[in-house]
Amino acid sequence: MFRVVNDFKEITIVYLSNGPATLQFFTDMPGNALTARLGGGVTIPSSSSKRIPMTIPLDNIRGKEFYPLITPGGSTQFELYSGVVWLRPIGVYLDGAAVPQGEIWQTVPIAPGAGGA
Amino acid sequence: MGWEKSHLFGLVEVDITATVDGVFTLSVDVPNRAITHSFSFSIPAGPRRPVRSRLPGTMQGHYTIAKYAPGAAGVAELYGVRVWSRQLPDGQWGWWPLPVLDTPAEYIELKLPVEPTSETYSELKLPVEETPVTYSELKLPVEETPVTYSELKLPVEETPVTYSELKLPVEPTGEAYSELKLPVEETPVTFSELRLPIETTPADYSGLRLPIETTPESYAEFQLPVKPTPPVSDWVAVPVDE
Repeated sequence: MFRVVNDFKEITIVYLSNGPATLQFFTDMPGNALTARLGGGVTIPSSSSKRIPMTIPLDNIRGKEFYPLITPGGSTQFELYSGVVWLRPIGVYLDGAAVPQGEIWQTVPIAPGAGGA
Repeated sequence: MGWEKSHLFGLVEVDITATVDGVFTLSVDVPNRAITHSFSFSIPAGPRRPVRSRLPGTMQGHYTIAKYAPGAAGVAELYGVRVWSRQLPDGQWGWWPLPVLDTPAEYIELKLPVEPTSETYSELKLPVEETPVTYSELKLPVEETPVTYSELKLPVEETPVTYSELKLPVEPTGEAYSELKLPVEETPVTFSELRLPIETTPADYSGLRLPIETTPESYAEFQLPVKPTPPVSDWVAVPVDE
């Protein structure tokens, strides 16, 4: 099934914790394998046992599939209340390395003035 | 309808971002009434921007096909393509957008499937079994003694009615004779040396003491074997014939 490529902007979580945790964001692009895209991960600081929001930018991350991963520190109790990812689907995304000969964009034969947006 | 009139193409503009060089191609059906006459130009890698190219004056036709192919080692995002054209013979020049799937300018919100946490506390009954107010009867697991006797078969093996064949453990006598080697020690073909049990005569003489009893230095008393004289008894009168 055809799946669109998404341009990720940021992820916002609402949480409560008594210690640090790490957020990692996995997507399948580039490479078609779900891989961590935030380097060593982003540290989520302790919320001092209050419920607080935190926004982490996801600039220049693309993907058809994704999942976030939150790993609490060794002695951290972490409570996640909500999570929102901001993204937009890219209309035409072309992968030149796609098997067997790369993706292309091409119109059907159209008469000028009769088609288009 | 569009195909009734031919159009003249002047420019093409591509809104694109690419990590690798790509090639854009525009084909038209004039001449030859087949969409084979084409014009291509390279779009270098770069961030999102409009890339514009002038088209040759021969680019006109009823139909057109646009095509973009990125290089093999990169990706491209296409946001829009439009053509500067006018209808022949006397139409006005204008931008005519080609159908590129739209990329929204705004990001959309995607809620992650986090189970909601209730704002209020709810009652949760602990699974503690209720103690009944009244006592209930509990039958003890004592097996009931039957009123009548029941038959119990003793584990005696039944003697069969007919005789069954029992093969004695007699080894069957073979039909043919088989060779049986007697346990006779084989006589060797060659003679072997056998040493006789003769004691070796030593080369030197050895002392040998004869069994002569040592003569003592002094005389020892030696009792002669004289029979003692018995004591004389009283005279005995013996009657004599006269």
